Amino acid sequence: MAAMTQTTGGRPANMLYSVLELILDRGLVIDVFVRVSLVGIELLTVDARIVVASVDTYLRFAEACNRLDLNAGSVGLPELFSEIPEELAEGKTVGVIDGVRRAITEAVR
Amino acid sequence: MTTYIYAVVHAGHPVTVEGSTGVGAPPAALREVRSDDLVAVVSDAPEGLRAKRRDLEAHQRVVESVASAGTALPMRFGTVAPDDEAVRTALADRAERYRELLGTVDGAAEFNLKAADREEAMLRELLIRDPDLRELNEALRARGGGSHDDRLAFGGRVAAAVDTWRSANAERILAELRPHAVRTRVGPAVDGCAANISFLVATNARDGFEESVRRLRGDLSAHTELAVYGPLPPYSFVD
Repeated sequence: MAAMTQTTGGRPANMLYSVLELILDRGLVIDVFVRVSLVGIELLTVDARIVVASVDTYLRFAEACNRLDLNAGSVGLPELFSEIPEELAEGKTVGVIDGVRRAITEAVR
Repeated sequence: MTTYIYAVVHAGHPVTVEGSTGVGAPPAALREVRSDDLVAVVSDAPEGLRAKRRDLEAHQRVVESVASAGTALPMRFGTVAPDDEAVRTALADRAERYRELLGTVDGAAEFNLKAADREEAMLRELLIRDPDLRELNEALRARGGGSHDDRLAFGGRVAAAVDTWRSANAERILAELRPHAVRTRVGPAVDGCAANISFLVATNARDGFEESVRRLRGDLSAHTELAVYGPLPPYSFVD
């Protein structure tokens, strides 16, 4: 059996978990056949998914920003930022929650 | 005895399953189920099969081995048929679709990219970029962080900025790598990653893809960590 290879980056030891959602959520499905119970896996995948738009995340970001001393020098501005509109879309995070919920639903279906 | 399915291949695929094993303890022997020009790689399904590390690894190991030897359709983990005859019937009933899918992934492999934020550097840049956000942050800092509601409101604005930033990052990654891919599939954020994108890359396009990954990794390194996993069986392009 060929060992899984990795061309660039990442940690080989975590490879299985790094691509776990591919093995669990994708791949060919034959709809007349059952899938084994994924009890136990639900926790695994749900835990792995981060919810950006949550109270905890808001507080974590606020505290992380508060810790920053912007006068202590910074890395250069990447050109990427020139592409970001100044106006930040209101209500965008709600969409993120929906997206994550969908992802979870798909993962445990 | 129920039948566990790992992959579907063309009859011409050089797969040799003899002596190889799959899921279960002790690991079940692999065998082939053939219908016309299609072959399913299967084994007996163990009692009480669960998505445990051992069986996930076994599934992935078998699929990886079959896919690295030739074109294959990887099954989603945990697909079980009543018996071999039912597998044969399913292959026959859907033969046209499986042939088409085999054509799609022929000579190509999946590469899964996950981008993770370097959070502190990213937040620093977002504050530098947005004077309002920065002033708010300085004001809250001066007040020892502010009230719970203040922090929540500020954190919400930061989260929205992070979301926009991640979207722009993902667009940049897609713009750079999509030209090297036969197909692209954007996946859900898992494991805290900011972008999770799978690319179906033809063998002859792999060098260019990897070169672009290296360039992107350098360009984005200040704020983003890129991990690319592959070549993998084309899980994301057969469902």
